[in-house]
Amino acid sequence: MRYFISIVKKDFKLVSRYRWHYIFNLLLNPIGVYVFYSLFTTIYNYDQSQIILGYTLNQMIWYYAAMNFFFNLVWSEPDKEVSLNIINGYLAILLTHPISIFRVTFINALSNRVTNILFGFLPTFLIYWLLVYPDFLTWIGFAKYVVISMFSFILFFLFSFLIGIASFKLQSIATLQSVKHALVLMSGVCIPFDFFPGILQSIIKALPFKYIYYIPIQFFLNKPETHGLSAFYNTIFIQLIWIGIFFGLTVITWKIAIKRYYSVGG
Amino acid sequence: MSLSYLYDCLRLFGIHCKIRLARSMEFRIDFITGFIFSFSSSLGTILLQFMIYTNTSGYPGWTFDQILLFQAMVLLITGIRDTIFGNVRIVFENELKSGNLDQILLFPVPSLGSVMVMGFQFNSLPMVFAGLFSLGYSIYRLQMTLQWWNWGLFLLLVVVGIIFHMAIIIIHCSLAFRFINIEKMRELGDRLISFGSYPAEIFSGLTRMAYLIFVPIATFIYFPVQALLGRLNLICLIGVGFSLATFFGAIKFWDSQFKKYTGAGG
Repeated sequence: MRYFISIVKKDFKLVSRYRWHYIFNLLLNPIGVYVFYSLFTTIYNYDQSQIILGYTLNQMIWYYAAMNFFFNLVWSEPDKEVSLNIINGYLAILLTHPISIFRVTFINALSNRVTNILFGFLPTFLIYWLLVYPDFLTWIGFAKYVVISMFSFILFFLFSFLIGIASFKLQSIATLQSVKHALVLMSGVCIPFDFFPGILQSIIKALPFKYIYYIPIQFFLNKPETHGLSAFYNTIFIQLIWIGIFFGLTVITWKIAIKRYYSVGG
Repeated sequence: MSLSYLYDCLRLFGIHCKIRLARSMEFRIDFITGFIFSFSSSLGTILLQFMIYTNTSGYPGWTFDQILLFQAMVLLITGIRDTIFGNVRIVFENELKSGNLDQILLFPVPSLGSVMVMGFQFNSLPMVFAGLFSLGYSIYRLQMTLQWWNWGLFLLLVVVGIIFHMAIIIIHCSLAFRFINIEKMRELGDRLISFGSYPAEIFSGLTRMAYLIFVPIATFIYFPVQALLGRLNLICLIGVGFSLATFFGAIKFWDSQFKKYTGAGG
């Protein structure tokens, strides 16, 4: 906890040092929303539909706008961190530290969430709110979304860390990182997978990645299937199962990888 | 601009390419799998358009086959652009921050040339192949009988698009002389460029005017595709004029900012 607080303090200092970076970021976000707004307004008008595959125009625009929330609430890159430490030879030094690499990476990622929520997610949400009023949104749906996103963060962190462990064997994991991006994109980030043909939908539904973006956003959009507490508890329960599986895999593969690891210098 | 200047630039670019390729080949498995994955995931973006068209009426003024051609061009042009200039802005910023820019300026090629040739990005090359493949396929599907002037205009507009892209990079690098840390400006440039991945018909009013004329993003993909489809009009000529004017303006701007540059690194 002491370490976490000191990292959060450091991150706050970074935010204040690079405040223009954050301010500029907030000013940039509406550009992306404008593109989606134009794109979907044209598609909906041309289609002469109020609803396409269960999404109203507003919900569709927010589905894409929420991509930014995903990067603030869920996205982390422990794979990159682990891989760079191995390639640069810093891992040997880190292994001598009194706190494990997994814990350090997790605390760093968690601390980033704190600053990202305060200086990224909340202001962006307010800006989007002013630009495109979310007529579908309820406070309960919003609260459920935030809670589920926190579990998504853990799930995504473990998945990314697992990819990072592959760099013990491969050193450069650029391709695996591309696969990670593709899996996340296919699981609902690039397009709601309701658009996909049946067989592809079945495959994606069987994988855990839909719990990273697609399912949380359904709560945010207040879709009928997310109403009630049972859907909420059910989602968290399944997320916990996947977190358990990924955590187990992380522990096992880390032990195997670290046994075979050797390094010169540092 | 003399021929020897161009020759020197190309030679320097060749050296950069060799170094980057050699670096990538150090991680051979990652290199090969990355190439295959990048090629297939690039083709995957075409599937997305297919899904949009099978679930909606698509975009006004564009049939599915025509949008397939547009998407093929997005892949091809983005691939070419990123392969040649993909890293320029990042490398330039890094060299400027670390004080190594002085070394680059010592190259026996004029400053701007030395900067513009250091952007080779190998991992965008599969996108070029995916673009070529899908371009051939879409031309076959459209059963187009293209005249020599269609191809001539198409190639000319592709070159103009690349020149306009160079203008954006030059303006970015010139601004970096003044502001040093302009990571977010890069993001702004990327967002601006990303507008080009959509047809003009999705924008309306002032945005469409800007897209076609004043900030002629349409020169990237929209105009070349219209040239192939035989749908060019006078607006294209105005857009081309603005692109070239922006390019020459950018060079002047570079010269003015470069004169003010002082470095103490190296």
